Amino acid sequence: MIVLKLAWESLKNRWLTAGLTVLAIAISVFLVLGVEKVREGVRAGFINTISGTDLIVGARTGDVQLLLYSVFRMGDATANITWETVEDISAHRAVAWTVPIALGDSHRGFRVMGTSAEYFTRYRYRRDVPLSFATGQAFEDLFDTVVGSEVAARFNYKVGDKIIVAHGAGRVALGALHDDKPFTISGVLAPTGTPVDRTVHVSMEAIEAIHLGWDQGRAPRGDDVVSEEEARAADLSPKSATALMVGLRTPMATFALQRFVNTYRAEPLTAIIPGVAFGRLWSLLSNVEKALFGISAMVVVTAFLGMVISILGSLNERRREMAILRSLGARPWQVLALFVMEAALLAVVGALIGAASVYAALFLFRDVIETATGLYMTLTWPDAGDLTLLIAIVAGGIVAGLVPAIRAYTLSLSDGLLVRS
Amino acid sequence: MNAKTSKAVQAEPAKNAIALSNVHFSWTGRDDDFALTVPAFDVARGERVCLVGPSGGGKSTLLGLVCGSLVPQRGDVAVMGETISAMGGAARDRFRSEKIGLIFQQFNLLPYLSVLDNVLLPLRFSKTRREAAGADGPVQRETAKDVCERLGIGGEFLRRKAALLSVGQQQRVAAARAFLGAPPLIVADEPTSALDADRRAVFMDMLLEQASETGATLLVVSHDEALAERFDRVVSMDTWGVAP
Repeated sequence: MIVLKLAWESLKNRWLTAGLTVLAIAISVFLVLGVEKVREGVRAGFINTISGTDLIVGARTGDVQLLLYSVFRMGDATANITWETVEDISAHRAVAWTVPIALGDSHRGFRVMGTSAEYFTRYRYRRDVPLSFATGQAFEDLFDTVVGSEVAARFNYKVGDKIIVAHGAGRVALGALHDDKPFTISGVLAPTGTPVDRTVHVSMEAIEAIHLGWDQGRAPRGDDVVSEEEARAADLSPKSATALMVGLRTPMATFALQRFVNTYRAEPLTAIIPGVAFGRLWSLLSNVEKALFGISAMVVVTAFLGMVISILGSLNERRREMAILRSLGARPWQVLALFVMEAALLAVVGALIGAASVYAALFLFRDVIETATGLYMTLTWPDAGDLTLLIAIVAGGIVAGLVPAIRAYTLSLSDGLLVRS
Repeated sequence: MNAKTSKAVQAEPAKNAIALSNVHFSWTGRDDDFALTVPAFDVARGERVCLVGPSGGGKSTLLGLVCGSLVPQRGDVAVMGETISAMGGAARDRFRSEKIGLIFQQFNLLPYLSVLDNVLLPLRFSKTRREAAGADGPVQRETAKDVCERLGIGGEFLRRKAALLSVGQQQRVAAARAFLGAPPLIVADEPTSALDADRRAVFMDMLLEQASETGATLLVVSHDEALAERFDRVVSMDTWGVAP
């Protein structure tokens, strides 16, 4: 215990150097733990992008691809599914509800998604949070639209504004605009931190209406042009959907229905369980995770390098101190222990401050972070992973501390009680 | 051995506080290949001896041998009846912590500890001295304060950081530390060399008086012949073999 007391008093005496070393370690721990927390937050937010939906059905394609275009609005569907199929699946006895989505158009770089009004009540994120309207309401009129929070924020849209939808999903509309049939914003959704924020929602019927007279993606000309009034009078019942969100009466039926869909005879289909597909997609990103972790680990190494340098730098002026301790009967290993203890103290204090800062920052800025980035981070007590990480960092500090300690040990052995002062 | 004796000392080795016989030590590997040969050097228990010799005359080497931080290549070093030159490193460290109070020329104290904590330090490394100083922490602190008091350090000085003391005060604290826990042998390496002339005599008298009171054997190395007068015996190192 005397060694601990001496290490502590000695560090207190060199408070500036010790403080800066602790600061460097604390910052590195803050970084490594912060990155870990952000990673967990991103992962949780990612996995919780959609919940409450048991299956997503689309035309035959890869799991990840279906997830990407149906939930993240990334990439395009290779094919649509027919409305007969939609109705067939909806009629299945295990199915509680279905919500169709139709993709393919865009608005100033944001995807336009046709869906039913039920979407706004069925869609869940972050386990069980429903969508809510910041202002306005779901679409009622044929040419009403509901925009996500990010869309509204970007273009400063508010309820009552008129917007024009472009044909195709490109960021830059390639000429073809549905400018003959403008939409009126009926509602703006509250932020969710999901792709919903970046989506312009219209009804399935509206998607049919704006494409009346279109042929293979070519805008209608002359007689083919269908006016707004004619469109309202036309039969707008949907002919197809890009994907179908399916809710089941009981989760027990998930695999049975998935098999039913995957072996559907009338057309080739794919049904994915969102959670499973998310897991597969996330594992694709694991290299990014590893790179982030690697970078923050290097910062920890740098901090310890700084600590080793500062202790080594103090060694020469402390040979006197070592000789005094030896003259009092301290064994050389106690001199070694003194220096290891100093490193351990620096590492422990640095790790504790760093960890405390991460949790304090989470506590204080969680809401700010969520508003600014849509990243929803949970505040929990340090879990086993955090503790393992902290223990590993402290252990690393102690190992680093062995470098100056062993140097002190050898100096102490050769100096004995005699130090040229 | 050139002894200016006030007391005849020729007792059997076990009774001696220090007994060196046919000791040869050399810093192998050192450029100048310094070597020290001591045919015989004895200090009786309770004796107060001043060892004089020129700078570079092997005084520090001799203290290293007596304190067990150096081991001779040949010959025996016995302290308090135990042949420390035959002990292992850990045993010599333990022996030193139990039996020897050491005072350096200067810089005796850990600058970051208070005066009192500095004085208490040897008790942390030696059970014998801890028990000699008192049954428990508070008693030991009282003992430490007493020893300090006798050496003229008290009151608020005890709580001060050692680094804030004058050199003279530091040496007195070092002396208090050396005596705490009643080690039988006090060794001092030019303890007055950092002090100004009028303080030297005062300090040396204090050291001698404490040694007499506690019955400790005192071995002081000095090149100051004027101070040597006060000791029971003065030993010159001139006749010892010092090379080169």
